[in-house]
Amino acid sequence: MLITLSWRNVWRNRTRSLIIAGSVALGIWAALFLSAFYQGVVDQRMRSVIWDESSHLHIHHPAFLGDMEPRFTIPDPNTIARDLSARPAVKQVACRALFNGMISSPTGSAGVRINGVDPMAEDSTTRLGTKLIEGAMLDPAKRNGLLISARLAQKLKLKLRSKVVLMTQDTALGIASGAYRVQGIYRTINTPYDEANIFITREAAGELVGITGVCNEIAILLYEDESLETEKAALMSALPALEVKDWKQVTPEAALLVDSFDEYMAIFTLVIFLGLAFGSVNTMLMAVLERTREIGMLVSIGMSRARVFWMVMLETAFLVLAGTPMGLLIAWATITYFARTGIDLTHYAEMGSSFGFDLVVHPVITTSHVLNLLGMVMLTALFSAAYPARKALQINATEAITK
Amino acid sequence: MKTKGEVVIDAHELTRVYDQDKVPVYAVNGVHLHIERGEFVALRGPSGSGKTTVLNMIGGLDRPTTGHVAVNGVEITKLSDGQLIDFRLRNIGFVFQSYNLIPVFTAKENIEFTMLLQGRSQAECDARVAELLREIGLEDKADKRPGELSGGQQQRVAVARALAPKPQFVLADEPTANLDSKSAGNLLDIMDRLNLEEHITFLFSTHDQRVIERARRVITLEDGKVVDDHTVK
Repeated sequence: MLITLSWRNVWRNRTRSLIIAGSVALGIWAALFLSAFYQGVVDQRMRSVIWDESSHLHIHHPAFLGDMEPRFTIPDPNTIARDLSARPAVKQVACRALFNGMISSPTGSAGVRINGVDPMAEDSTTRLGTKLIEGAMLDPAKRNGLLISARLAQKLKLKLRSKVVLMTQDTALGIASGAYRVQGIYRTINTPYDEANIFITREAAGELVGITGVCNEIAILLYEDESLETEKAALMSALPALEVKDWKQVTPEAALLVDSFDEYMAIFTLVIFLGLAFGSVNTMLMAVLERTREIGMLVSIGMSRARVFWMVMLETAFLVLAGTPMGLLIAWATITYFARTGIDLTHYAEMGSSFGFDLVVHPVITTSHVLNLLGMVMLTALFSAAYPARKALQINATEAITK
Repeated sequence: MKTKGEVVIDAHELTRVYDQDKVPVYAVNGVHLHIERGEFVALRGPSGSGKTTVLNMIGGLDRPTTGHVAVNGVEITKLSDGQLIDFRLRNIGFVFQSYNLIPVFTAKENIEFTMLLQGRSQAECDARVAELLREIGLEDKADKRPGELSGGQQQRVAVARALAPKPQFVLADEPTANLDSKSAGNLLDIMDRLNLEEHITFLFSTHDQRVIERARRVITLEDGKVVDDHTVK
């Protein structure tokens, strides 16, 4: 009876209720779509960090990450790499020599990170070969081959087969240098990454710093993101003399983006629903004040104040919930559509690539997003209902029925 | 002067003063009232004589400044607000001047509303509603909402709603004030019959001569005091 009464009361002023229900639908759509869009950005960035740049886990000499001195190499890296490859959760393993250095061309120079890689392993781990836009992948037989990004090549006025000089610190803390030729030009979606990284073979890197078989980093790509923590713990236990870090520790800026996602979304959603809540409060307050006499009559003939309170609470809940299915439906339709086609942000290419974001975003919606949002909808309904319901409780029946 | 029988309403030294802190206005001043089961009583008097205030205090809608009211032996002036609401639900039927039906409910739903509030079963409600609709001659209007009924029909539904849970008595505040002669006559016929056949106690506040002529006891109030109380042969 109370449910019937409340539901019918909601539709006494059909236009007003439809406007509020429409606002709720719009709010739900906006919150879900924004959430899905941002989740898409985060997921793609995370994928990019893991699959294109960093992999899931890194192993280093404990002192290496301080100043990235070449001398802090991983002992017997090939054995470790072989053992790692045998682990069921591990998909690929790549050994890298990593140094900070400088690249010089006849027209300029730039500070870079010199990545000494095993071409086959690196290609399997970070898909380096797929990012080439000119030239060819590194060849272990050609010791002086070098891969450079298109952006850095443009900056240094380099093209294929151009000659460059790399300089870095050797094991004796002296200057080591070597001449290389541009063998390939690559491009990723991450401009800062492109500007900072050049690739040579690991053998060539060893020759440059004077350490045969130099390996400062072992990158590990897992089959599943979910096994990250387990694998990390296992490797830390198995390799106590080495440092094991996950991608979040190695790329803290990407980790911050991922970790701050929930907070950002909570703020966005809160703002949207606060607006809706005030709209609902206003509508319900009007509805209560318009019905002062009627509520007075209900109390007079024996409807308890608790029932009056719940009647108004239910009316507000119905008002808010009336727009929920429509909002969910529109959100589902638009997210599904754009998940398939992607949202093209090439107009914002400069800004996007500066942060390493993919320029075509595929929104992603998860069950937890929807459940959180429904929770927010319920909270909004309760919050919106509280004040009008309290007002209804304060109505004096005697005064109300004589109005 | 009064019908012999069980006392349903016993109001003693009722006083209601407004604006006590400034200039006190005595809406009701020392009213004694004893109404027995099955009486058909009109409380009359000019506007401002205190009729509605007395009715509100007897119905537990207002509290007397001094004095007390007992309904069926229960001292209602000592009940809390929540207890009063429940007491009204179970013991008193109300009929208001402007009908005050629930606009989103049909006639049937309006009539069964208080029964459902009491927790009666739907089957019991259906039977009682059918009986009352027959009594008030609106069987064919059961599914009409108040907006689809005339003023007279709405007031008949209001009477049926008041009677549905079989209250101890019915308080009617100017029930015919908004009705034309024919509708008022119909309504009074219904209430008269229910009083005679089912011994339902009615207490009206009115200055409608048509009601006063039908009443079997007339109490006259002036300036918040009872100035006359007589039975009509």
